[in-house]
Amino acid sequence: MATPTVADGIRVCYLYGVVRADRQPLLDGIAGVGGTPVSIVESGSVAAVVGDVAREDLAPPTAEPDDATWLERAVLAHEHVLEQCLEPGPVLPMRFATTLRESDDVLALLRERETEFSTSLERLRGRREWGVKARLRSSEALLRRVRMARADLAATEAGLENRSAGAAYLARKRLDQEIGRAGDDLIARLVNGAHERLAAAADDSRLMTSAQPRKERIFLNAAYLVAEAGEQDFRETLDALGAEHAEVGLDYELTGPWPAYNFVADEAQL
Amino acid sequence: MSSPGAQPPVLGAYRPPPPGTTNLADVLERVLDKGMVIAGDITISLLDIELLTIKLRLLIASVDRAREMGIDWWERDSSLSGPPRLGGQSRESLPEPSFEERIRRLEQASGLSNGDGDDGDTDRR
Repeated sequence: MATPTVADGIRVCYLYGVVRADRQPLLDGIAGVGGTPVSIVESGSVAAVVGDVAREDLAPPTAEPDDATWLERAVLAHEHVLEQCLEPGPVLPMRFATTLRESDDVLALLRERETEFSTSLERLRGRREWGVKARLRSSEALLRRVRMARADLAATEAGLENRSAGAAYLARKRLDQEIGRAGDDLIARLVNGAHERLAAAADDSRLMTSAQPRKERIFLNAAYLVAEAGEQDFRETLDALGAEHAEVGLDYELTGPWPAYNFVADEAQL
Repeated sequence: MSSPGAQPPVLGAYRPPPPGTTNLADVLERVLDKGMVIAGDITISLLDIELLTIKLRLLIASVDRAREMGIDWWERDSSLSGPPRLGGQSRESLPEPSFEERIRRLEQASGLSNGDGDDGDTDRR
């Protein structure tokens, strides 16, 4: 039931993020949410990156939940503007659809929060967020490794042949479960160790939950705040992990640099 | 769209994002769930759009689960099927009293409720 969307023509001030006033991004030709231009509102030592956006651009055009193209466009535009901000310096990324009525409200916000924003920006200076995911290509190599490491399980498996069909069936089920558990333990140990090493090479870290970790076989999904001077070291740590864990079928994937979405959450609790 | 290999749609007038950060799932996960939330007791009045955002996040995260549970409120919810109304619409004046309950069920279904609890904190006070 696609309800026709009535264009109400109401425009709002969309807040993408806050940057240092002396590190403003180049925004010429950058299209924000809804294809609208992006501009700067400045107050003291901080500046807000804003856009004049129609309210319809933030609402689904139809009631059909699968038609999420509008959201993808808006979310990618949000990200794109923030990536542009990331070039000259740090940015405090706002959550999607942070919206105020007009630019005067943005000014008031900047005045009220200037100290907090400055402190947060200072903390992010010279640091960037990177994302790491560890994905299990297949469980084959992992289970092979478990069988090698666990002589007791291998012995039980070998002994199955001498048993009656019924007993062997039940023993096989129990064995498979045990191998599966051992596999889970092993992979948890590997990714926990990986996270510790990556976190040690970073200034800060956050574990992120993945939407469907089992389905996508993602066993580590984390964000790291890394000093630019330490990026080489961080990458080398990741490369080493990739090389070490390739034999069990774990692939490491690096994304970024991201606006520091995962490292501004403390402010959310104000 | 949560599949790791999903490609972003053709973006028309948008400049494509730089390579290396184009995985839509990664972007959605950050832009919708992370980032700074401007809320709390500041004197500026935000639009009720935050509530809409929460609903959208739930919608995206839990459409499949919600359908399994037989929840289809977005098909009847006017603020999702058309532009939201402006002015004076506070959380208190929202329709049925069961709204919070439905949100809660969706949160549980999507696993969003065991996070930082920020959804409740975005209320204007």
